[in-house]
Amino acid sequence: MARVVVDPMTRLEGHLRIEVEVDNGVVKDAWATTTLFRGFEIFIKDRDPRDVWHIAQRICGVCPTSHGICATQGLEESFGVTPPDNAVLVRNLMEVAQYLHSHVLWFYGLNAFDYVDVISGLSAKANTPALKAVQERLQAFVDSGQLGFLANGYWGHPGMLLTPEQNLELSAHYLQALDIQAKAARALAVFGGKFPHHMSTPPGGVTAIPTLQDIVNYETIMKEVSDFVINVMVPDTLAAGAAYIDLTKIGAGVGNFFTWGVLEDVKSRDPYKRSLPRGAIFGGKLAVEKVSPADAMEYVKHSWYTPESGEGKNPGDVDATTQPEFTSMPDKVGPDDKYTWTKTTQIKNKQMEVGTLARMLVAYLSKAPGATKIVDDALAALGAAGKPEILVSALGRLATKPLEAALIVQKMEADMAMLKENIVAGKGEWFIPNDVPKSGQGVGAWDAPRGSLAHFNHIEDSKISNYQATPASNWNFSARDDKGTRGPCEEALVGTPVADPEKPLEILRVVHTFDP
Amino acid sequence: MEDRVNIKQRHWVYLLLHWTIVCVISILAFTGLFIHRPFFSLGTSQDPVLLMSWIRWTHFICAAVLIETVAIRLELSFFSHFDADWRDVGPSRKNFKALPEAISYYLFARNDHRYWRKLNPVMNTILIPIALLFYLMAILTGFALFQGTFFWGLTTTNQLFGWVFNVFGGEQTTRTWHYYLVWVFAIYVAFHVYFSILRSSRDRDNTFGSMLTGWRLVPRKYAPIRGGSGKKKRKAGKRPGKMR
Amino acid sequence: MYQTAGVSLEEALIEESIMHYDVSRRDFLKLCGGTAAMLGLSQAWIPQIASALEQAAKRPPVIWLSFQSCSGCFESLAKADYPDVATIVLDIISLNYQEVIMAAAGTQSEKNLDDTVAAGGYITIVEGAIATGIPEAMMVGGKTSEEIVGEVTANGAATIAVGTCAAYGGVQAMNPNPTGAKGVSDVISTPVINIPGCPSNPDTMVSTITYYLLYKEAPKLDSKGRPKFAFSQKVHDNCDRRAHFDSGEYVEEFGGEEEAKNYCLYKMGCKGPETHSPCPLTLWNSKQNWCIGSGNGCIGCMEPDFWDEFAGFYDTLPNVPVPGFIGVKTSTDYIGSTLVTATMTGIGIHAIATAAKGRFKENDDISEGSDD
Repeated sequence: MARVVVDPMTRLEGHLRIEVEVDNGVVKDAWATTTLFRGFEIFIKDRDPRDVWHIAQRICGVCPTSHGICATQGLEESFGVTPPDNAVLVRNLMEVAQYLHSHVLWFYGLNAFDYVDVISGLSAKANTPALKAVQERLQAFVDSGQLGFLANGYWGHPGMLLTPEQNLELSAHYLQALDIQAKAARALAVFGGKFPHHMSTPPGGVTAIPTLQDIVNYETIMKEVSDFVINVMVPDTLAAGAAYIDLTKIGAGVGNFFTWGVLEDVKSRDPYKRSLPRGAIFGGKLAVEKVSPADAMEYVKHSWYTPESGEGKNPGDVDATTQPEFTSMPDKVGPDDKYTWTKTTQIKNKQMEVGTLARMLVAYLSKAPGATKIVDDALAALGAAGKPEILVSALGRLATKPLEAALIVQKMEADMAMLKENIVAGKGEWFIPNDVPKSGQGVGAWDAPRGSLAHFNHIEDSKISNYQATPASNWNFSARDDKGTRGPCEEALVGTPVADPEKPLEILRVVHTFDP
Repeated sequence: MEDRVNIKQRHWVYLLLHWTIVCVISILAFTGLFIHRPFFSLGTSQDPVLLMSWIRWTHFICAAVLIETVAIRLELSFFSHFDADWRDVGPSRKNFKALPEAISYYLFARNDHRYWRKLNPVMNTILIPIALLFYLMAILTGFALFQGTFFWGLTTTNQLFGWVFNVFGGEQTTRTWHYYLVWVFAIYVAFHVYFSILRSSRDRDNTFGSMLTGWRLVPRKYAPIRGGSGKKKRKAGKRPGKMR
Repeated sequence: MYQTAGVSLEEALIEESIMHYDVSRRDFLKLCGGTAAMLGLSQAWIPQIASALEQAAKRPPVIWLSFQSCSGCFESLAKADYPDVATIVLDIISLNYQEVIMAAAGTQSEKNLDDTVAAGGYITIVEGAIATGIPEAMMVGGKTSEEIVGEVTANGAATIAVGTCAAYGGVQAMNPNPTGAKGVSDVISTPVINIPGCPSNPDTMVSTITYYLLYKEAPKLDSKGRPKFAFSQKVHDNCDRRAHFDSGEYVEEFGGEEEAKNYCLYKMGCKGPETHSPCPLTLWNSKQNWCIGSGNGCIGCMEPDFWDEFAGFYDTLPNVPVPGFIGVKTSTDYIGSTLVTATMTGIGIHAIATAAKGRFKENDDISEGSDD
């Protein structure tokens, strides 16, 4: 039994340490440690509620828009104000841009090096001038002797299964993706001012009043992005998926999924009618149940917080707290050790997985418009028609990303058409004036590209009296509970074969599928 | 009514400076309040008036005039040939000694008071220093906030006045303090005007009017002896009031 | 200015230069033109900038450390357009350690870091604050942020703190600063170039790195450690809505007619008049837009402690809470009007009492003697 520690776990947002126990080349047990604590819940207290959505965005620099919109929704509930239709449309369009940005960046920028051997691509036979140019560029880079960000990657690892030609093509797409993710962010900035950390969604609506020119700008930029998603990213996934079909056998995880839902339905404002609807799946049963933020519970047996910070409280409770209390970081995590900065966050005493796979499963099972066809087509392409259960795996997490991206492109087109119509007709409001109430409470429940997040606020004396947030990492990197049940990522790692403990490529793959 | 004489109490230059300062600070207060929160607008969007621009311009011009006026007043109070009055106006040991008496009079703890030949001790020891501090703060924070390439760039953050931000704890906080000055001014004016009315109506010596005319109606026995400059008078030390 | 600088020269250079990659070469020269403009150099400098960047025997090694951050600053750099992030990491610098994009992980990534530190001569770029109160709130490879930043910067050629977190502590340093977060310059003794911003502006990051490569020394810094070429003017100075400020045309409420006309956001709490930043010139995301362009006022993210000092982002200048003075929520207007009311009341009471005592009438309560 050997312990393998990957610290830092790279190519993710934030800081993560993974410790696994390997026996006979297979992971037997795993511990995921988030090594960063900043204390948002503490310093948001006593602030002007109108400022909070700015602060909340700083939780994550890859998905700030989701945090901002989610915090704003929570505040709108406490303020008692409903954003007008146009504002919801603009927020949706910003969210779509962020999703495509995030998915492209994740799929290529963060994830690709686990499957694509860039160095092997240098020996490929380049079929087109464009590929030839990329090959020359990479060759010159390698010849310079300074490998920079590519240095010491797992090149030549026996787990790399793509042909040199595929490697070269995906490397070329990697470079292209770096450009595309910037474009998606640019589209977001049309309405948001800038990205990361947009500026235009205070409680009550949006401050940006787009012109027709803005819509055209957005549309044109996003056309390029969605073309890339549909014509490059989806085929790449299916090609890589076919080569790495064995990934369906590992990384199943805890089998419980949920999503708060994302991309509002303008007419109904019903979370169960969002483009990616709300819902939960328990025990891998492939049936959707209802779920509410009031079901979330936090525990801290294995996390560095005071006992009062957890112990079965809903983060929306008025006395829920998050007080750090660092004890020690054990060299080898034992059964009763505290080992991480994330709390154990559960629903109905179950560890819950969130993210694209959860959203797509819920959307597929609740027959959200468009979702069924996209998933069924992809399953057929992978040679597993009618077998959605294969998606509950590492490959499922990988493959559903581009599918989700393709799905929300449809939503974007519909919302854009609606918004354009309103602008041309000069219809509708953008912002409902509102005041900070003396007291109130609210919760925003939304999904970031990487998973579900909820922001719970309490207002007293026109100030924030309590604020708790459960971002995606709290779910996917949830610490084990008091019974020792592993968190989703930890559970997914168990059973993963590790060919070379010195180069734990397989561990990286499984962890990266969670889009951490 | 006892015997009184009309005395040339204030030189016209000092009166001019006093009222210049009053006008300038009033304009500064008004423009400052407007800059803080623009409470009216002029013109239309087709035909806009550069209102804020003019208000700020006025604020800066008045600031320059204020600095100039205060500088002249200070210079004259030390070096003037007609009335170097720093001993009479500023806080001095004599004034501090007289302060408890004056305060207890105003707080109704005693019913009599001396005749104050020029300013009363409260003015000398409390209000004048506050005014000086006010000018200092206004000028320093004002210059620090007035950033641009003017004066060979000396007013940009790093030059000459950058330290002011550190003293006050940041640019925003400095601005806040600069804004407090308008309230200090309001309170100052309230006290100042009230006490001069009080004194004027009590002593019937035309103190209030003397700020326009320069002449004050002083009881004969407290009037300084005629002739000679202020300095000589003081040296002589033989004014009737001195004698008990 | 930034968009057009150097175009004619660029064409001339393209003709005479040997081009390996048509597109990247053109992008590269655009970078040089943009950099020259940002650094305030004339176009004649472009060839020299180009050769300084190109002819260096090897690409300068860069270590990018991430601490208490949201990764937003690297995200921001990845949104640079000329050069784009691929050109930066492939052609301009050798990014030997960067947790978000580096291929290596765990021991391999640690090795990259150790090797680069041992070789020396690298630029350290720090993103995120240093946790000093709870050092374990930020650990990488079992070491705390304070240990790592000390070890890595000690042997480096230059240190650049990107983002308000690395420069001044940032979001986690806001009151009550639960983890004791500090900026890099507060924990190391070697000089630090601060490029604050939440996130840091990609153009400023690229220009600063380029400046360093060109002159082998830090650009001139202001009193807050920021490069003067970017931070000497305020948002307000170059704001595209400045004309509306000067004309007294203000947005009174979000979503209104004034907002649609792009009026000035001063009354909505814009902190542009207090914020030193090149934003109105560089703009964001390929010059697509910027904060004020989206209809929300500037929140002052490039100033130290802006989370506390500028808080009340929707309150008018300087109608903001006064920390440590009369309680967090009290505004200057409240303090001022309270004091004035109290004064007037006091004077009123005094006047009544004085009148009651008959002191307003001429009387002979003058004691014998005057004040001198």
